[in-house]
Amino acid sequence: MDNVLTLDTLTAALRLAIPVAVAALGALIAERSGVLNLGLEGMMLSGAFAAYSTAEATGSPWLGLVGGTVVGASVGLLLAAFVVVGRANQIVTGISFTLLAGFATALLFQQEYSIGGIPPRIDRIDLPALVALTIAGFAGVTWFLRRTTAGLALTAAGEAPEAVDALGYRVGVTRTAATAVSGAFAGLGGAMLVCGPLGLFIENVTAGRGWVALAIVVFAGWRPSLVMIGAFLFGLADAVQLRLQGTDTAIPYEVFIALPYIVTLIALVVRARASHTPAALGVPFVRGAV
Amino acid sequence: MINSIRYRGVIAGLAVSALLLAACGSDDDDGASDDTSTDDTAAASTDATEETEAADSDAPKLAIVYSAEWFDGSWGEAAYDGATALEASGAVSEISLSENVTPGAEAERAMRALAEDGFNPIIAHSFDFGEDVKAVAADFPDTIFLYAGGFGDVTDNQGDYDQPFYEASYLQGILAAGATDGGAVAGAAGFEIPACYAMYEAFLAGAREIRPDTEGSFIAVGDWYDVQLAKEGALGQANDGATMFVGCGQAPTFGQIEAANDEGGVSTGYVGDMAELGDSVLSSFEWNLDLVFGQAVDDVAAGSNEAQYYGVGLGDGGLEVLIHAGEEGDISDEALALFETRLAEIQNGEFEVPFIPEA
Repeated sequence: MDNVLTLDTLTAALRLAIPVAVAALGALIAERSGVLNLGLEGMMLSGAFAAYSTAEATGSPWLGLVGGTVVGASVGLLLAAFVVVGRANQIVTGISFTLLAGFATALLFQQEYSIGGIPPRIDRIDLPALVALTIAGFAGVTWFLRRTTAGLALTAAGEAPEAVDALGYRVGVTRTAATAVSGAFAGLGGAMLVCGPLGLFIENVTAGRGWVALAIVVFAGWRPSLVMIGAFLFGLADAVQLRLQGTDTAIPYEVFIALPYIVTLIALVVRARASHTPAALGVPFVRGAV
Repeated sequence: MINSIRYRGVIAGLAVSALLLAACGSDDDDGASDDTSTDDTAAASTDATEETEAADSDAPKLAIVYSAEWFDGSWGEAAYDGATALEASGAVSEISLSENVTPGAEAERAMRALAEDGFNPIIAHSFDFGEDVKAVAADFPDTIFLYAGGFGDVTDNQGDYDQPFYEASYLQGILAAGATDGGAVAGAAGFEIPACYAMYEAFLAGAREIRPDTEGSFIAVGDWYDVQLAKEGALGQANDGATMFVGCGQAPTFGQIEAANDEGGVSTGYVGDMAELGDSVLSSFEWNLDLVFGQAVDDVAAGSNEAQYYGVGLGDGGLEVLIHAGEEGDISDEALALFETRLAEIQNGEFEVPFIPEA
């Protein structure tokens, strides 16, 4: 047990939490504006691949982060074209985006790297820089949502789009921008995974982190501070369960693997009463429909 | 509203063209069939027939379906290489290789189409295809179907093939202990399945031949593809004193290798030459699946529809341990000598590697 509660476990928890936390901030922005971004996992994966390719081509992992963010934002904008402008079903469209991103990145990766050799490693960004970037992202989102007119309009677009419309704000524009920024954060999250602790890309490298991020936003009641705590708890649960398995114990390993999900489930149940679900989440806005 | 209907039309059009693009894009990628629709499988088969017209047309037609990509430098590539070697040798007249086949309805559909096209044997190269293979095999009693169960799961025309990686792992454990001054063994797999757990136990037993007091730990990452989680698990083992890393499955192996690259110690390649993954990779093993698949092909060629538990061990050339150039100098003479001795003993049947499938 003495290897479980150490500084190493905490840094492992941070490494595991950061990509999820950043992507969850992205999910939160879209959802606060009324758009359920189920393409989040796909945007993370696209961002991760773009970051890897950029970093490999330029030699700079920081440019990799930029590349991941830009591609994530582009995918977010495309999703907005479907679900905000076209008012397509957000659940079906989002999941299609995630599936398509999985196949597209696998195909591109295979064409670029797998024939005749092992994909090269890229330089890695150290943990303190990643932590600083995450905190900056958190502070920026909090400030924007609480202190700016645009941020308040964004939240209002997710709660009472008719009222926002009546006040002269454009709900469609707000939601489109929110979805693009959501994609940017998701892409950045994927990029931070690849350019941070790993330094490599493999097929489906994000392995479901986008879905975890979506769950964390619900757990957090759509509040940025709780998103950060939720992501850290998830990372901590994983870091601890991996170390617990290495100790001598009679507990079946399946219990440890399930631990992060059990923690999430309990948190969701406990927090269900205090739900702050945006009232218009997932509902396309049709002007003059009410 | 007219507006929204028009938008929906545009979106539907875009979605259809995106799907078409995705489907066509994979078609002309390379010789292997990338997609899994029956059309595609048929197209791939036709190609193969044209290429091998000169081959013996009476020889069996071999089909393999796989859940991920062939060129993964490991498990998938071993099957791809095995099938192409059988085709080159003339043992089979035709091969059909389908990758990215999702277990479940899609896999069943693909295998039915292959069986109807006369492919026999049909090999589903993943543990996850077990249920699908059983469902399809019952409807095609004259076709031999195999999946990578690894535990002798055989009924009538539905067979299984062995993955005796633990035999190679034992020798790799000897080498690893011979290249380190001390420290524990770190094992990892996606889940605690027999083939993987036995690898870890055999590796540990091999290391103990050099240092009897060697300890070890084993982690089930909970996912075969989550390389970050796998690496964090291995880093935890490294913090706890591990210096010899052995993984089973793609991400767990990558994770162990990455941790050894970062933290020091020696790591181990899994199915395929992984020397290029880092200086820490001391040894790898290759899996000669042409021999294993060849057994099933021979049964089909002999007119049998009784599947077996196929498998070729290290002693018969089914597995091959590679010691990586540049690292050999770091392995103690004692360990190298013991490696050679045990290898010879396994080959002539004097020594049997202990098989411990569960904790």
